[in-house]
Amino acid sequence: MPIDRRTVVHAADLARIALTDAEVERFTGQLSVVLDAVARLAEVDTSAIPPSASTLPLRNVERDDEPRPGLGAEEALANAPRGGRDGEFFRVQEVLQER
Amino acid sequence: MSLPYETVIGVETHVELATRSKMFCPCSATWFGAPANSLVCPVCLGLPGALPVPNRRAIELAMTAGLALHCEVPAHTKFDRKNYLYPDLPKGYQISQYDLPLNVSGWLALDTPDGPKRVRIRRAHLEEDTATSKHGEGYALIDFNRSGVPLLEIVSEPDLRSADEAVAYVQALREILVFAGVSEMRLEEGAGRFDVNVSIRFTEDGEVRWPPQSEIKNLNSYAAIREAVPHEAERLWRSWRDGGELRMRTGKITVGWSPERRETFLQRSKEEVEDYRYFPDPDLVSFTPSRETVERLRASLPELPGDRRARFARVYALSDYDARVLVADRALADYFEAAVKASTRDPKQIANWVTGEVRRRMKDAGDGAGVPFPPEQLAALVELVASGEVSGSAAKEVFGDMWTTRRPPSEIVRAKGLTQVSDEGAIAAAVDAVLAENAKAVADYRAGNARALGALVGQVRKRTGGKANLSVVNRVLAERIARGEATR
Ligand SMILES: [Zn+2]
Repeated sequence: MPIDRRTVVHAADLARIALTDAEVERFTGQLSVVLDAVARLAEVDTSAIPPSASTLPLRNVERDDEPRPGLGAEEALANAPRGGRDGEFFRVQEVLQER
Repeated sequence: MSLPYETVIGVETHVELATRSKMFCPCSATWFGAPANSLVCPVCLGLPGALPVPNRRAIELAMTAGLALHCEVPAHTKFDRKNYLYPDLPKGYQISQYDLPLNVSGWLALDTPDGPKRVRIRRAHLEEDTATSKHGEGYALIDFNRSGVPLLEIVSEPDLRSADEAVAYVQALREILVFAGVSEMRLEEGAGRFDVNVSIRFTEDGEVRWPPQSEIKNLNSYAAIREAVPHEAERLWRSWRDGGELRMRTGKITVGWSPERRETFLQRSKEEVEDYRYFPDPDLVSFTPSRETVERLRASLPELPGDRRARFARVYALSDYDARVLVADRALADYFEAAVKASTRDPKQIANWVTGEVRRRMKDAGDGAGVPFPPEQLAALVELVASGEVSGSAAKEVFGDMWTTRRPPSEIVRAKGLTQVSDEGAIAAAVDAVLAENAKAVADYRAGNARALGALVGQVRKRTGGKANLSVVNRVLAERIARGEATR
């Protein structure tokens, strides 16, 4: 199942990964091979198997609506990368701009 | 003014469910006003290895909402991952429901100026809320307190035809959800948000045209819907007319609304559902609502506002206005019904008090204040008026006293000497005395000056210390004057 450059560029864009032209070239070939491998699943005859959303033998796992304390701000913010903390907030780069 | 196009509108409403804890973790869901990042844990921060467990109450509230909106509850439902990268979404995906939502195919009854209308509900599914962000110059500050709060997304079909209709729809929806206890939907706290899909439809060269829609994201007030919808519809129309972008476009666009500039702006020019790469969340198992649960939730649904209004008009013979005012406040409607039950008089008399004095005083008393005395006391007051024991104006005074002192009305009437004189003999004596002293006024009245009668009534009232029953006074006065006429 060959995929084209545009699909690779689009997928990279959705994943917020910047690719060079050489990388797009390389991944276009590699991803086609990966997809071909996965596509072999389509060869299995599933006509007699009912569709299922989950392979786990469990259903209706729930918990009661009881609040419990979590980490607290200090511990939570301790995981912020350098420069990624601003007071009690996580600080990130702006991504959506008005155009 | 009629527009050269029809506006076609569908609304996606996001409401926070009234749970105590979050959707997939036990952090408190009461995020509004809490110190930033104080209600967080590995699950709602999206830390590696953390596993979600669904909140039973959230699922039940979501099903209750669906039942109140006449939805079907499918036999199987599941949670899916909706993948996109944004700073307010720590996992890189939002847990939502894609092809097997919890509720499908419902409707909501709407009163419009053109008569009643059913707005079809396509689906209502559960998902988790995102974090909140504050924007600075080139950066954003993220607070994860709201991350993971249970959210119900209710999607209408494109059945609405004007901004006013869209607002009426979200108001009716809000009323139902609040009544059913599903959500408090405090709009001022961001607990209700609307994505409004707007398109225009018109006839051109004998053909019906319906170009692709705009989705206006994240409107959070009725005023914003009222302004943004006609603005975007008009923008689409101009774009078409002037050969703009709408002529080339094949898919929908996403726009934002700037309340300051009062205009929409482009956010995303294309958005395909494949881009979200939905797939079943492998961390969660499927959900099969039991018939017993569905029936239990259905049985515990309160009577909904529309049904209650219709019943009030039918059973108590109230006007549409009275029914509407009473039902707008569940506590007020309950109070009214309890008072009616305690009374043998026309429910309209009770309704007059409740929609008038009671509501006015509750408003003055502020948010959350109830009526300080039980409904039986209001029924007792109505009885005093209906039996003629106190006059209408004295009853107002009694009511004011009841509100502040909580004493029973009969006691107040006795203590203040407000009992109305209805005794014909006493009133007749007063009338005779007044007629004798006011020959001129009587003559004026006979000469055709109707206002002279008012002066005479006033005199009689004065003579009886303001306690004479006005209807008796009027009748006796009319009788005496007529008789005087006959004997002259
Ligand atoms: Zn949490």
